[in-house]
Amino acid sequence: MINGKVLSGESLLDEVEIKRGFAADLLSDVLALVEVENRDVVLITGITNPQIVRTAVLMDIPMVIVARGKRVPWETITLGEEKGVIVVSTELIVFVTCGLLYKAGIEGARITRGP
Amino acid sequence: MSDLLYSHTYQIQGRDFEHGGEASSDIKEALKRMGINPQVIKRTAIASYEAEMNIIVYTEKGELLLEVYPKMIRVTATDRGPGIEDVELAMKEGYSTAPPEIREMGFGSGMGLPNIKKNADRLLIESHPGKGTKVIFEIDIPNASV
Repeated sequence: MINGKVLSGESLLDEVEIKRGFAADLLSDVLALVEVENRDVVLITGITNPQIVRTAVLMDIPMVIVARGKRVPWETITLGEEKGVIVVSTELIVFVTCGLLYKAGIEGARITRGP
Repeated sequence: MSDLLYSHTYQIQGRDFEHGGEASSDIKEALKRMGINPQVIKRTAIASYEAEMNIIVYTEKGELLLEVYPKMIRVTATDRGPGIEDVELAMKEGYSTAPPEIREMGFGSGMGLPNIKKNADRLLIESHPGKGTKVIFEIDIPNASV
């Protein structure tokens, strides 16, 4: 759908059902705002460093899409494999990636109101 | 505060972006093994991650001390970094002294300390410019679920 290339966690694709999405280049925003209930949120980002996988692990986010065709460093791919996070890269820009996912029925992530 | 159930110290290497977040992932796993309430785990993990990244971004070296008590979790982040000139200002969302290259990595947006505050039940910041910073936060465990 987004013509993505799976870089890590390919074997996990069948286990994950994405229902919601959140796009951010500030990982603190992901930490501050996203509510993940059933491991059903995908993160769409332009950041490529291993912190995207760390953030995903902490937040129980099973999948990260790196947009704009950015080269994803080896450390990020291997960490994704090790931690069981699906990392996908796409040539599309964030806006188009989100648009296509939304059109396919993926909704926006729920936002936390704080504890 | 006796009845300490578990404690562990994690050494954090400044500027080590590759391993940044590892300590917080370990903290999350340790708390999971103890069967602690998932919401408490998530709040602790998020706050620890922000504290860990602060050490990595701004200092040469520091540590995270995790202490688990029956009714609460306490994390103490200590470093010998440059310190925070104006703690009140640093608590403001969006205020940041991070250089552009840190922002390009997805951090340094001025949300770190506010994010810790949001997730913690109590937060204390002790900072001495030029000497270092100590950030202590506690998260209560509801109904003593340990």
